[in-house]
Amino acid sequence: MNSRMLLNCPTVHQSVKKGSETMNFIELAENAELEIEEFLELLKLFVETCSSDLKKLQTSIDKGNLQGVVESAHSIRGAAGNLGFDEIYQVAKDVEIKARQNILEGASKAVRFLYEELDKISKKSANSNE
Amino acid sequence: MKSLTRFQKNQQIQMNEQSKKKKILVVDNHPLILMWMSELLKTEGHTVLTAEDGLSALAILRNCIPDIVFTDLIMPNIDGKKLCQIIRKTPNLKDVYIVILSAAGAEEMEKLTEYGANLCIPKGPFNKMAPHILKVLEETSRGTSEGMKGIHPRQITNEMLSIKIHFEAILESLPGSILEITPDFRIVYANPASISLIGLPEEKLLGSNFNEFFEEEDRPMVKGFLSTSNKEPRKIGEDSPLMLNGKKVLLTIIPIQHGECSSTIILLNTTNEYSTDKI
Repeated sequence: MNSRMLLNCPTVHQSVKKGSETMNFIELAENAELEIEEFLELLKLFVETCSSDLKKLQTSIDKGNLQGVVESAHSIRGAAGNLGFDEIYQVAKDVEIKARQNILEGASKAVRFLYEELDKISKKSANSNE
Repeated sequence: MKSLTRFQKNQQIQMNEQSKKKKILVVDNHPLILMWMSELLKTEGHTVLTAEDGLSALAILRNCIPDIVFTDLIMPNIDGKKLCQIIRKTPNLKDVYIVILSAAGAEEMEKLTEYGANLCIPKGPFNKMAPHILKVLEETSRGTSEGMKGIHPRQITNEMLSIKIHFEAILESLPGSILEITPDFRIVYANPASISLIGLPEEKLLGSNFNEFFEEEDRPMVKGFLSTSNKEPRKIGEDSPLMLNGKKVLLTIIPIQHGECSSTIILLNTTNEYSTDKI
């Protein structure tokens, strides 16, 4: 699929909530100064790695493994920051900072939120690649 | 002075273009950074090699001398700080231009030149990182790093790094010889006592196969002990000590499970007064 076809694809324009504003993949790609194809390729990898990190994050929370929580939240935060998913970045950062202070309260709720956000991105990404 | 023909001029332009193309090694444990950096650098016409940690980078550096290394700081196995130090201590790699890509705190960034890095670029949104990276390529082609001094770290404090440095300082000061190896026996950490015991500089020790430091006849036994799936701490050489660098040693193996499986090995010189119980 080329850029022009993607620009005409309605699913690409559907927005993923990003804080108080709304964002779509075209805008995110433009903000990251990437071609839409490059962005979607990176997005696919982001969904894969983030999904794996979220599993590690939940397992670490369940086991009370603070270092594991810090590492997996740090990884999610970094990747979300790279691509401009500000809300995921902020939530993961909060989990990381609290875990460093030995606080896991609210972490599971944050993981549920992150799963929901990732699911939205994943579905929209799959539609965009069709 | 005789003027150049058009053919000679074109040849010169081609040679100049060629000299601008670089061999670049990117080291980061996050695949997203590796993919993005590869795309960015390949688009500029450079040859790109990637490694997921310092250990894999060392394996590449044995056969390849890149012009530039971009490396993350916090990675499993051998981290970015240690990788920089090894590169600087290896004679054929000493001219490699090293750039650290990190979200580490400003205070830590100040120390990067002590590690041997030429420059540090803060991690963040790709569009913010790209101009800094392209500037590095431009400036290194010109053979000057002037103009890159303005690249400063951003303000994120990195407690993860300071905690790591804290525990490293503890390990460094222990009198016992401590090594960490990967499941395929590659050494990824060696404290000063173990470096002195084995008698090789750190830059040669890291990435080496631990089993190869033993006498040939002992290697199958050591390999067997290291390979066992037994997760309990265990000792080798209690009945008959092993020879390592001309010294009799007893090995205490403590398996640790943390992400990538690694084993921490405590080496004890049998003539040493310290025992594992005292460490």
